[in-house]
Amino acid sequence: MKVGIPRALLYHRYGRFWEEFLAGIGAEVVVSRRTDKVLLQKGLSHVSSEICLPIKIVAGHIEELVGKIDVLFLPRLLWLEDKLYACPKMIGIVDIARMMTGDRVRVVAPKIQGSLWLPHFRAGMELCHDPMRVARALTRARRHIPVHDRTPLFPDGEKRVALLGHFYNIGDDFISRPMVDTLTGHGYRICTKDELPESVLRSRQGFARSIRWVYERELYNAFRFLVDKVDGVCMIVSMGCGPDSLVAEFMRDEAQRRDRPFLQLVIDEHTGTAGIVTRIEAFLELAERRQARALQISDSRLKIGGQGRAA
Amino acid sequence: MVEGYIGIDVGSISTKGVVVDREFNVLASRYLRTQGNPIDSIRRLLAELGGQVDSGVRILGAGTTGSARRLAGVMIQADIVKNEIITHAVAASHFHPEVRTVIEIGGQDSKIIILRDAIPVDFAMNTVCAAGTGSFLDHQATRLGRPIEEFGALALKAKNRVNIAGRCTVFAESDMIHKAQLGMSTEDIVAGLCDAIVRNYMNTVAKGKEIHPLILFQGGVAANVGVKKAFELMLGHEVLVPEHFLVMGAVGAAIVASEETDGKGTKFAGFDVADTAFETRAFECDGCPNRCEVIETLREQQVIDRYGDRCGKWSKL
Repeated sequence: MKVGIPRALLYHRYGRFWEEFLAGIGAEVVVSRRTDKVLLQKGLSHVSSEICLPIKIVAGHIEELVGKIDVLFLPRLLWLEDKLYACPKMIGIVDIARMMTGDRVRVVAPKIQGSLWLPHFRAGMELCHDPMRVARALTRARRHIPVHDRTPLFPDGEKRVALLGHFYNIGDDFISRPMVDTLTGHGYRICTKDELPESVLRSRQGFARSIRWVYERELYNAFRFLVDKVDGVCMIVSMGCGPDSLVAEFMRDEAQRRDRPFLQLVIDEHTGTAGIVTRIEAFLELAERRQARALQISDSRLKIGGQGRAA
Repeated sequence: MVEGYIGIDVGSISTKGVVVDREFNVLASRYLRTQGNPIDSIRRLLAELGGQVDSGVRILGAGTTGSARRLAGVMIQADIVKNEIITHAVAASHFHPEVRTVIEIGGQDSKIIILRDAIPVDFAMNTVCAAGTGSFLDHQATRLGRPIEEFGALALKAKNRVNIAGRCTVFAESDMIHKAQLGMSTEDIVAGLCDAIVRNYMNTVAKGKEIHPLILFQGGVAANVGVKKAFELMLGHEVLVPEHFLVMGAVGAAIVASEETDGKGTKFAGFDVADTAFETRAFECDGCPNRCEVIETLREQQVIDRYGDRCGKWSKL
């Protein structure tokens, strides 16, 4: 039995876990290829033009898989612990897939509400019917769910930029490559939210407490944690993403208060590489000119102070 | 002989160039329409600039900017190729060190730059929509049968500024036609259009930015006194259009060229590239499904630059 997983959205976090789990119950796992222009075009013809880029991309991946697989494995994430919700489009992606594919493929969609174990067990039973085997495969696969408990180091004298955005945007080379290449090309280390420990991302301190979207709370917490440790913050926002547009405004305010350069990069399917590169280059140069200026000021203050002591 | 720098700004609609002396006083400046052929317009620009300074200036450095900055940089062998945010900011703070906001509206894009203590600290550009930029004004002027140069003055004669929807160029146009059918005067409608452009700019480009005086208004649309007036009404501050508003990007490119070369000598190819054969070609790479459009520039049949590929297979020469 061939089970297909689209290389999009939650795959960028749970991909290895799903692959191991499905292989463990005897399925032949087919993952769609990396996002490219042809896949995106396929997606565009199946969903509304008003919807965000990651949904357009996942639609392309689904369309690419249909015909090559017996079962489409597409978990539906409603909320994770603490009743933090996924966005409505993520919740609805299974319905979008069913509308698109009709009876061309069978969709198996574990419904995640809080814990991962039970819905995945049930989904496994739909495909395998041997409870022992499903449980064993699930237990083995679980170690592939990424868990971060170590805080990365932030050594002095290193140029750093926080590249914030949903993991399915940053994890997709097609979207993030021009940004990553430009930043690293200028000698910056990129800090993302997904290398931070859970203790930071799950924090309920301050404004984070009021954010009820699971990934937006992570993003905001990552922002709060990184903002003073980096030379600037780039936030990738999908055009048409409601939660992003709201949280990004709070970030902008906060960055302004802390006098930290902040760049919002809005992405959609028309985004040319040139526009992204121009913006990032200008942003980095602004940050550098600002720093040079701050150094000059503190330099002259030191000199004045020095003279005072000598007198 | 005078020593100086050359700066070139090649945008979607216009090609601008200046020659400045060592104190960045403008010795020669030209403004041409790009007309969809940047190679030809850069060539004409250099010939005309060369004619204006009449080989009386020794060029110490050359810089390019604008959306065709890369092509221009390759053609004239610039010492530095710089994005238009920095060049506009640098030129603005050179002429007016106390500037804190730069509004720039060009042919197809618009931007805002925030400066503090003569240092650019924040910026924004229009993202997916070009509503309210120069091409739209051009189009409306043609449609109403008025020369674009008189368009702004027309708005100043308005008695009742009409409300025009500015969110989208297409809707703005149908709204203007609708208001004309209702019998409203052209002056009032054009004033309403200026307001709509400013409103659109404030809601999309300048969204969330703190706008403090001194405010400079640069780029082609700054020639339009109607839009300048609309900005002043909206912001409640005087808006200053600098003397060289049309070529500020080019002046900025010349200034960064001086910072870059700093007496090291220039690579500048000279004003006579007019005689060199340049060509650009585009082709679709079929190496992977991304089908990148690769653009290459040739000088005398030799490939000197290639870009546009996502993977770097072609851009490494």
